[in-house]
Amino acid sequence: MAVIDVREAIRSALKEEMLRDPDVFILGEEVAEYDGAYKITKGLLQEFGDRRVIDTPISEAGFSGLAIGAAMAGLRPVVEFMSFNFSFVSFDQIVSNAAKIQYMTGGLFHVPIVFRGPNGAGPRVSCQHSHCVAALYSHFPGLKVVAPYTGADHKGLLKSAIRCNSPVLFLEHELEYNTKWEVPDHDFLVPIGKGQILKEGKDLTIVSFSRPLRFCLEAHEHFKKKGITIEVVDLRTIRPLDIGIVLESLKKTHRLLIVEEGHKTNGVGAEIIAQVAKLGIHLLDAPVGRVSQRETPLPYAANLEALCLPSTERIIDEIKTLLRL
Amino acid sequence: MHAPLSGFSYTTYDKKKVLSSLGKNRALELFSHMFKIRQFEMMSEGIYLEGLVAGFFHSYMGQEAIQVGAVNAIGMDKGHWITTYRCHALALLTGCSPIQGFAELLGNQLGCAKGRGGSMHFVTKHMPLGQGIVGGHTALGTGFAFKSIYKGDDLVTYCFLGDGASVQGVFYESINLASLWSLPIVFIIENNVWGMGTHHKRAVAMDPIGAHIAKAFDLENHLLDGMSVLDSYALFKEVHERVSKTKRPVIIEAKTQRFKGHSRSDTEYYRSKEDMEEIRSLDPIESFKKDLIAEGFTTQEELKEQEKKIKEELFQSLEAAKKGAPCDIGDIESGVESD
Repeated sequence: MAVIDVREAIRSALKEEMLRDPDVFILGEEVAEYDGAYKITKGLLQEFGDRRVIDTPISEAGFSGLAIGAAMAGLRPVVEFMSFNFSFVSFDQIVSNAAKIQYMTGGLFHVPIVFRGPNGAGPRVSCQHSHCVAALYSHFPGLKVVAPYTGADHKGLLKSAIRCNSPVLFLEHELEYNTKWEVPDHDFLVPIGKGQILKEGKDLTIVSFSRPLRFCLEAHEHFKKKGITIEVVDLRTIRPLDIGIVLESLKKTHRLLIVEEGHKTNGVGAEIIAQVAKLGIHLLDAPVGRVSQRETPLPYAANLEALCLPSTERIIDEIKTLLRL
Repeated sequence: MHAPLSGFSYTTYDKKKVLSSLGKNRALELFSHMFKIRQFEMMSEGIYLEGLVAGFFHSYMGQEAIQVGAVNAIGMDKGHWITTYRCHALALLTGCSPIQGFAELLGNQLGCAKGRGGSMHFVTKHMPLGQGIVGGHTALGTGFAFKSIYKGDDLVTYCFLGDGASVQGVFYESINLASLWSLPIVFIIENNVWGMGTHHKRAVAMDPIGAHIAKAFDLENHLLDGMSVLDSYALFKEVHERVSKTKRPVIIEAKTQRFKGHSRSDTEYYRSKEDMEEIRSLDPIESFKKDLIAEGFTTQEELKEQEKKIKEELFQSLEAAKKGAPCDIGDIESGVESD
């Protein structure tokens, strides 16, 4: 077990998969000579050469489409978006092509591709660099959307994503790249589509993914001191959604709070609530709570930004309401 | 206000030389392919009008010489073939049987895309599906060409688009990447004058389109008379040999005219009866028949016989396609994604 940061966990997944499969290659803006805008790909150009670690122009639609075509032709590209906000420029390529081609061609073509990069709010960069795309892309059949939190999950899920024969959007978080975790040294995979319990509890279930789990865990500690235990469910994958783990948890807690960095309207939480309402409404003893980004583009000013994003304080307040404390 | 196709500086070839290099049998094959596509499109429109086919339907009638020349010059397995929603011809030329084609239009299990694509999305293993978003497929084309460089294979990617697509942003991104990274891809702008109902002179600030783009991106370019299957054949043969060696992209603009509306739903208010008569007079199949007869390769009677045979074959194919089982409703959610 080594202690490494998330950046290193992602890099080691890339490296191991590139060593394993010569058809895996990386392309994106600044990924090679610059070592990556967030240094995820540091050293990979030296190790694998410019045939497999490829700098692109600022041309997201072009290089995303190129990578999708290359995947259809049998390669396994890993596309880095400097920010998932820039994937909007590639939206047509991801939605019209990557998501749909396997089905449209009756399985004659597959699109084994990974789009990865930081998702959600960076520090104080205002709204055009801060969107959480989890709900948006998980709308589309044909795409898988993964958003890990722990170091081991970053590594194990990215390796699974690269081996997957469908397109996977692998959502990272800039503010978690430096977080250190214990990560197993051996070659391991984490399956796509399976959530996990990060903390057990009996009084309320929080369902979340990616960086907001940090605040959920802090809220767990806060209530633990008061003798209230909060179960924290890490979805890890947004599509396909592991609704089973949510229902299992509700059998114990009967109370649900969903925390996400994206917006509330038609968000990931909305889908979870709809599925719980269909499959397990009898499990609920209280209205369902949501903490998400407020319904504004993210503002720059420090005090406004802090208010807009999910935080430990907002989560604690919402839990107090749900538990009538 | 349609543009006549004369008065441009086309890359042309000596007809007699091309015919003699082809030889009688291959030359007659080109004719068969063009006629088969024409007939397929006419019969498909027929079953559309009968109500057996639905959705958008874009006919390739009038443009046959371009893709017939290209695929015959190169060979379907020597290229990756990327095209738009006007895709029936290229599919038939790259391995889709007429039965699979008709069945896809009818939307049943025998269809080349198992009834999931319809008219706009025919697919073969050499032609990764007709693409519905104008211009979006040009980026996919660069990906296939990139694969050839990555793997070191000898394939060249042929990416067809219309004059309307030639001003989509992603097309310029694709050309930039293709030129920057020296990808073996040929972009063929089939300029059939109209982007739906908008004349290219009202949509594209360049004429000829291909030559201007090629200059900006430092590429070889050709202007092709898209109504001449012999010029098309000879040009694609020459370009293929060169791109196989140089691995540099090439742009070909083929001036052509579609005989039908943009799609079945196009009322064609923008072309008069006189316009259509003039356009029809440019029929690439009729002019090629004259060439074949003049060369002594065949006679009017033999051609008639050949046409009859093709029609018969297609009628049988249509009947066979109609016998295809309906798509399995139990299968509706299968194949959306893989593990």
